[in-house]
Amino acid sequence: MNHNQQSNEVRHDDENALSDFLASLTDYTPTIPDELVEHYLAKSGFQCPDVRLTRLVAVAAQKFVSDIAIDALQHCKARQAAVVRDKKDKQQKEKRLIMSMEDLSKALQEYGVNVKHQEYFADNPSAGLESASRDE
Amino acid sequence: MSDGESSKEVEPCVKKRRKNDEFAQAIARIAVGQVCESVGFQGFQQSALDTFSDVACKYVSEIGKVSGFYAGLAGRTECNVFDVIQGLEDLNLSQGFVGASDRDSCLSGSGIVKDLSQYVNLSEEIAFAYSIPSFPVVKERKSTPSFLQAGETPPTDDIPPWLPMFLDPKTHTEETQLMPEQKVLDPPSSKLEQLPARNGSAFPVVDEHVDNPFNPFLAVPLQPGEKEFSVVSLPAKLKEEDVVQNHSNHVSDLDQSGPTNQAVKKSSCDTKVGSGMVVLESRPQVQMKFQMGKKLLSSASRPDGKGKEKVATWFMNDEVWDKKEKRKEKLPKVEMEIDEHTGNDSVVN
Repeated sequence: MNHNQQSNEVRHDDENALSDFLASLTDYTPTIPDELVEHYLAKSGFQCPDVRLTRLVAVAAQKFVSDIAIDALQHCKARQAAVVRDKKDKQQKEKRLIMSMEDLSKALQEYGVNVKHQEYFADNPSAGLESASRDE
Repeated sequence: MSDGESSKEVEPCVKKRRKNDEFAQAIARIAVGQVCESVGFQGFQQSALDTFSDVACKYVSEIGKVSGFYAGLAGRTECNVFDVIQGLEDLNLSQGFVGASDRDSCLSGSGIVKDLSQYVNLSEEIAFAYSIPSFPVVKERKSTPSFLQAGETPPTDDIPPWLPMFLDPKTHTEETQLMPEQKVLDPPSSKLEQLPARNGSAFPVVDEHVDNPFNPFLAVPLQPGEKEFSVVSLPAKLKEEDVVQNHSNHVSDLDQSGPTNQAVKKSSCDTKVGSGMVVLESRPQVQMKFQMGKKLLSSASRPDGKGKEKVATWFMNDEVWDKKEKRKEKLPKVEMEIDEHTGNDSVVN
């Protein structure tokens, strides 16, 4: 009996937390605009008239983007720190933080998204190959 | 952040794919850029921003799909908050969240919700930079009213009155001037006026013999010799060998028509159209040699004599030419191209 009461209370708290969170979403404006989220949700068959749910999805997407961005930023900073150590040039530290494909692909790799950037583009299949493999 | 013009440089093949979605993609790019800026980035590579915004859009679509799936699983068409939470749990399972391994926990107490509420509380609220109208804009179509709605009776008994009315006969029987954008064609009247009454169709019939000056696709096809065109100069080899073959007829025709078409300058070719032989002598020949694999696949056509000599040496001294030297010549060229490519990856501010 006690256990049931306790679990009921916990559930009540959780539901309160959830409803409070949803209520707070109406005040919070996510950076990803509602119209954009609605467009993509409608494209994939998500039907819901409630604007709080759209905001919930928008916030989730924003969190996803910011998590990846933070990871990419850390990769970028790590690379810059490594460069500084090699060259011992203090001017390197003032370089601006720019998101590159490499950092992004490393960050996305952890999230299960494989984005492999082409390392080089060749004009024929044998460009850049070693001489041994070229002999026919 | 970049200005609008630099962010529109996309390759043609990618452009085709995004044609319908350009507006949404552009907005996504701006939103993602703003989020990254708040995280601490000061600039982006164009390709990185494009990829990232694409991933974000796909993430949103994926949430929609999975939530819709859970709603359908429960026998509903409209999603509710628990569908969305379940969808988020599914997508974030690879990353992990508190309580991911619990079997029986209630969804309202899910770790995802707690993470999100924490994120909302701690992060700054950054509004989107522009105000967007709701899109896609659905154009209102004016449909033709039915016979009942218009208060008219259909002309014959076998046409039920709830069907849409016939179009005004004047719209498709009068000889009107065509605009290039119009798809429906207006043929001349006389014999065609009988057709709509006879078979009851409201579709205009095209008269193929009308040479409509505004629609080039309906013009009468040209007869051979009617229009002047530039003469194609044949290479010398073909001319020599084709005495017996079928090409001889064409060649002789070209030679005859050559002197007659002296005033023709249709394309931007700079060769004189006097007679075929003159053209061939002044232009250097196109040397093409097709070989398998690594040997050069060059088609050099240069205006000066130096180019010809160089090409000639390549083909004459094939066995003598050191392969490594050839490759060495090519490699710096390739590297240069690589550098150019990475250099072109413009930095977006």
